[in-house]
Amino acid sequence: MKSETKKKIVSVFPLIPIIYFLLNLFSMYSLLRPRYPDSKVIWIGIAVTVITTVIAVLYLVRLRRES
Amino acid sequence: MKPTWVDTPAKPWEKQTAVILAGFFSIALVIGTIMHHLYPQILGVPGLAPPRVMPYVSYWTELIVGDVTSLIIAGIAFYHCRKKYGLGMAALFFFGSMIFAGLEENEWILLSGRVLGNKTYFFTRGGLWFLEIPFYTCLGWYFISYCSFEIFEVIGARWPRIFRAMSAGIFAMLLDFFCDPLLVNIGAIMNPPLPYGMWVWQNENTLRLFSIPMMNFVGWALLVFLFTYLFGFILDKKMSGAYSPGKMIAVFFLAFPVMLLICYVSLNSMENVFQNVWGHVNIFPVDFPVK
Repeated sequence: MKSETKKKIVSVFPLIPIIYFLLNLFSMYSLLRPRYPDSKVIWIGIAVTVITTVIAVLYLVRLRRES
Repeated sequence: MKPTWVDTPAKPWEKQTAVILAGFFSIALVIGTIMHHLYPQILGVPGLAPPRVMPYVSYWTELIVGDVTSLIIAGIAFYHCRKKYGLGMAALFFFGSMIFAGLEENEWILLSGRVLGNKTYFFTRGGLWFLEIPFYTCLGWYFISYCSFEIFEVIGARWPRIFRAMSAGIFAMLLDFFCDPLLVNIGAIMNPPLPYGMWVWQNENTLRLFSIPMMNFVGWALLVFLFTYLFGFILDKKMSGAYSPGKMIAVFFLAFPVMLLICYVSLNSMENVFQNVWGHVNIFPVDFPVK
């Protein structure tokens, strides 16, 4: 693999732990949901995910401009 | 000067730094784990039954899966850091962040909570322990703080260092808005349900957000801000050639006691204000009453 391609792949690595973290939290929520279907915690999760997505897109755009 | 991607082999000082820090942290983990599991009376470990999220496997398997998964995810962040900033800086961030956050949390749990009697919080489950902090929590703190740091290093490449560190702190706090209300109530899924989760907040009559003490969120932002600012400062000195490796490591670790003191004094003062002024306020409560 070309070193430039490898660099591009490794550049997105900082997003992987954040995505894992949010997925893990949503899986925890799925365990709580059957007993607490009306819990407001899901709205916090959605708000956090939307803001994180915007930041992730900004990060990717900036990476693209740099390369 | 911008950091370059490192394709050259690690220098001797980088290898030595990584080995010494790994050795020190491993010894601390072994001692902490033995004390927590075999001699819980020394640290005054509360005897609460730990909540389970994978009841179909044994308790120890669940703990191993938790630690190993966190280690793999932290490994991804470490690999990126090693490639972009070199082995020495990657080792400083990896072990430095876990030692800094671990000491700060132990300060709250052991010093403030168990020695001085100002109850704060404690963890209910974990395989490997850094005194009273589970290893997976240290790893989680590492990868969240590193990813927050790196994301704003790229997005805010032209911003002053302090704004990048502040943004990283706020972003990490934002992630905790979802994490804390969920995981402190995860015991509610058990049969019979438990009125606590992965950790237990003991602060009484304090300002709360999402039913979690506000001090926790302020603490997250402050810790990540201080640590990423320090690391960025050291990184800038390395890039400009102003600091030798020895001076860089010395400044990095000598700043820890100062930062721990700043955290302790500022958060303690803030908690006193929260308790005295808004002691019964709970903004946007998120509760999971035991059914």
